[in-house]
Amino acid sequence: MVSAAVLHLCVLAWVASVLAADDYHLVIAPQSPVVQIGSNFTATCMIINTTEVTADDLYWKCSEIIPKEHYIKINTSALNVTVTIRSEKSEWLLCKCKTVSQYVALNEGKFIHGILLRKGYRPEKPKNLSCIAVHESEKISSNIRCQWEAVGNQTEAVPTNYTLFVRQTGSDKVYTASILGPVNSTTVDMNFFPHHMELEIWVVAQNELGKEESEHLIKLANCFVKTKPPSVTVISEAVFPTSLVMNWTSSIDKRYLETIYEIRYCPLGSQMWIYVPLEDTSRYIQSFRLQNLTPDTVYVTQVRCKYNNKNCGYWSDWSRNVTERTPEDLPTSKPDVWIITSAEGINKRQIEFICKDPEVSNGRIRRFNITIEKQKYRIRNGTWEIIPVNRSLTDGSSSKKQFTPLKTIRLDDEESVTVYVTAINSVGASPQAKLIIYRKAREPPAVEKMEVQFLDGQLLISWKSPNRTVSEYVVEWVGDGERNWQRENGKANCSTIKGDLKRFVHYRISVYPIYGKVVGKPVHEQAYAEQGVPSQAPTVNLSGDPGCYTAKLEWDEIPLIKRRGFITNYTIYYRSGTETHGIIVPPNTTSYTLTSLSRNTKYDIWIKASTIRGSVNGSNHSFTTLKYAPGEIEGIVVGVSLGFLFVVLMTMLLCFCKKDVIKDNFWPQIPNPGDSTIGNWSPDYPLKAEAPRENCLSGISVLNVDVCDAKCVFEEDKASLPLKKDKYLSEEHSSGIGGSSCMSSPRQSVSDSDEGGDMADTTASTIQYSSVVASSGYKGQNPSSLPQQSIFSRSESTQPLLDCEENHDTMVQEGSRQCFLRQPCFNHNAGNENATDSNDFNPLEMEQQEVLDFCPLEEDTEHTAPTDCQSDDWIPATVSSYMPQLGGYRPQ
Amino acid sequence: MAEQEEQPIAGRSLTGQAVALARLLHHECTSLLRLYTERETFLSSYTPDGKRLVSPSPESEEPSTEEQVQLLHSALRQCLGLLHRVIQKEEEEWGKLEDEYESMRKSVQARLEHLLYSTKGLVQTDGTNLEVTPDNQCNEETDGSGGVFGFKLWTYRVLLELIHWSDHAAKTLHVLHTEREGAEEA
Repeated sequence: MVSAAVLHLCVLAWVASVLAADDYHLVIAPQSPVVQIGSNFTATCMIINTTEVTADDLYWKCSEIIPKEHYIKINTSALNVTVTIRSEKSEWLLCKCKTVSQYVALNEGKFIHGILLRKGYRPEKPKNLSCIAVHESEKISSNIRCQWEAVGNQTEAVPTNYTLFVRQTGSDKVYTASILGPVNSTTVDMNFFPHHMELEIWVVAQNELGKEESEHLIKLANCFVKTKPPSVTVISEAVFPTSLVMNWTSSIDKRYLETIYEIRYCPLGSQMWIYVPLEDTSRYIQSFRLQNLTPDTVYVTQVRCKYNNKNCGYWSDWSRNVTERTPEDLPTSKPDVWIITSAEGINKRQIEFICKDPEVSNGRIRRFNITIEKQKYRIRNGTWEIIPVNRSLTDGSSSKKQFTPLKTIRLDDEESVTVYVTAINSVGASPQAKLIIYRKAREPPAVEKMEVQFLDGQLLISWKSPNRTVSEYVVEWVGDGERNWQRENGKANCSTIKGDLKRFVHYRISVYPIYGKVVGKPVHEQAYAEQGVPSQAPTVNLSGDPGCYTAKLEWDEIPLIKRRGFITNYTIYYRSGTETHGIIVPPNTTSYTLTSLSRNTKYDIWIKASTIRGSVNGSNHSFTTLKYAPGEIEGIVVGVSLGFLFVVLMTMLLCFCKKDVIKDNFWPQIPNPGDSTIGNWSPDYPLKAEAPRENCLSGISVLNVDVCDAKCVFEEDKASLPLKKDKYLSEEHSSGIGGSSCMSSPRQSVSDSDEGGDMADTTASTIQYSSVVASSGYKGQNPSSLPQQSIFSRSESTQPLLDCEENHDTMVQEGSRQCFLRQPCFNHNAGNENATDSNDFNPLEMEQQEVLDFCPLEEDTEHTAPTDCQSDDWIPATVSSYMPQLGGYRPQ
Repeated sequence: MAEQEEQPIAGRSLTGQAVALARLLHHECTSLLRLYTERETFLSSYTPDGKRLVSPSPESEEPSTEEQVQLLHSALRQCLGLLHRVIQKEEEEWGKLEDEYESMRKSVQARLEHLLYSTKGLVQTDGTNLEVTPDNQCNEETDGSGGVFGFKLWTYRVLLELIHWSDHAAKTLHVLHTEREGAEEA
């Protein structure tokens, strides 16, 4: 302690002398200290080369100002401080001076000094030192790699250096290797690996705060060796079907290193290794016989080795897999014979016998021997039929999954059959299997209440046993084109399918009770090992054409392979515009009629198939509802037609019933001109009241001619329709006025025309009734032989003239014109009468032709195509104006 | 179930280690000679005389096993001296090579030193102080009187001597081991 204080002071004096040259006034000792975290550290600050300040003016500062209770005043010029080092971070410890004078203030840099505290931990003894020398090429590497567990902490400021020492016992040679922490492993090169020599290995941890040495590891050098695994070969011997001989070559000569071995093996495909007890192999051996193996089974073998020392050494890695098949042996169990039954016509069934290899086939089954006994006829097919097995060479495990079709027979429902089967491999035959199929009526009862559940990733089938004693059950499953079965004890009432069931595949699971060797009735259930979303949805189509408000949809069932689960329902979607409707229908439905649709609307439809795992949508199909239902247009047309017909009929009926009223309204009673007093302009022509009446009776034909006339005129004067209207009206009036317009002839008109100038002069003011009774018209129609003379008569009636008649000038003009129009038609109809008439009127006609240029055209028409003229154009235009007149005259 | 088993293996006692080391030395000396004769093919027709290069003289007529081991130790030291001389001469003649022979030669040298340490540990008593340094007592013609050919023949004889004494060591030490470990390791 004293020496330390002296040393401290000496160092201080030396530091002071060094710093004095730099004109510092404060100096700290010790310089650049390494301090241990958790310990107390003492430093001294000394005032040199000044009397401006004393120790009382000094203070210490680390991260913050250190309280004065940690100070110890040595003298007036030296101040100690003791601090406890807590943090790991290096920091400056400063000695500073209060500003007690102007000098201190001006020379502040000279009144401060600091030291960097490098903090660290004292190294601790490394633990768990272990070393290894690996096998390289033909020899053990001369490099020994060691690792250890570093104890305690270290800081970056004060790192720990580890030095590994390796010494051969009895020798002075020491090999070393160093490494800086925190790495805790290193390698020592010994030039030669010292087999059979004892090594002493240890590691030393050292830093500026101390040094610690690990426990010394003293072992034979071979204890540190990890060799390569041996090279293994395996041999099977036909005479020992249950054993394999393993041979191996050690990776290193035993003179360098003696090894012991460990062996493990397992059937191919198994993950469970079987270890040979170490007592049997912990010697330097190079071969071993594996026993109690299964015949005709491929085994995987491995060997590893280590230095022959119970207390040390590293096991090598396991050797590579070496596989070998054990030789075949006699099958020791029966073949698993089973049936596939299907209906074959009436009262017949087809039975196919199939067979799995015996559970303990002890080799590849080359063939099956089968014999069938039909019991109805007590016939036993005494000879054994040989069914060769053409199966590819595979390992035993996969062959057990396959079955071999043996034979197919047809059987009456009334027949029973017994089948015997043996399996033969290269060594010999198996025990005999037997199966009995009773006639159908006597088939033993089935199990009851069969259920299939998906439990813990497996299909669990449960059932209730029949009342009879069952020797065993056969659980059969068929799906995805594959068939398999397994047998359960007769006391069992449930079973888990041991086969590899595929996900999303539909299986039909059947349970058959076996009574002795007799096959009972089966019970079937449908199941999925795991359900999924259907891989395909049905494609929905229209059945027929859509209606206005309905559409019948049809779709096919999803193929079984694509259902991937039980269909819980279908949802039919139909959409028009943005509005979508869905209808859920049961899974057994394949058609549906949509109702409440809108007419003339386009709909998109699709169908969604759902399982418990999800849904899938089918493809879209579009259709448009009808605007009109079939027959609707026809109905409307028929209805309208009927209505029209009804109206027409009613009108006609009304007309018929009310003909008098109509006549009165449309053809008012015109006074009989016969009853009127007419001034006879021709004294020698007696006016006969009866003549017109007779003429009127024959006037029907005249009216027809009028129709023609009118039509012809109409065609001629289409362009001047308004004018003609007036003309027609005037003509009509004129006729009416004349009281025999139907009988008014062109002559009469001509007369009118002839008289035009006179009439204009004479009647305009004095004669109110100036219509002319045309005698020529009546002449033409009158079959009488009365001499055809022009008769000019004047009505003496005081009945006022019609308006148009008052348009005298026009009337005259039109009257003359009408004359020319009608005349040809009359001529046409009147026939021979025209000859005389034409002579009378020729001059006039010629005159008129000069004025009215259409008259010659009328003549042409008359002579060239009178019929056409009548039939095509004229009737619709004139009937309404002339027909009533006809009717109106008939009574007359 | 074990199919076969070779000669008894030594345990991990000191004597056992020494026996194993002697056997390893013998194995490597044999390998070294093979490598040398492969390199110096003319030696295949050479048959040396039976005169030993190393011949320690026993102190008594019927030495004990320990005394035999001490003699063995002495002989091995002389062998080590011979080998040192061979290495020295060969390096002088052909320089340092890195072939398999060179590697094996170094290995034999190291192994021989290890065996000396082992035998020393087995038979050293308070009254005896065994050295493990090479003993260069042999004064055979090694300095080129026979030229390079003579040196090669001499080297060949040294290697034969190493094989002899390593084999002798294995046997002697096995006797010692048998005596000390008794039935346990026999």
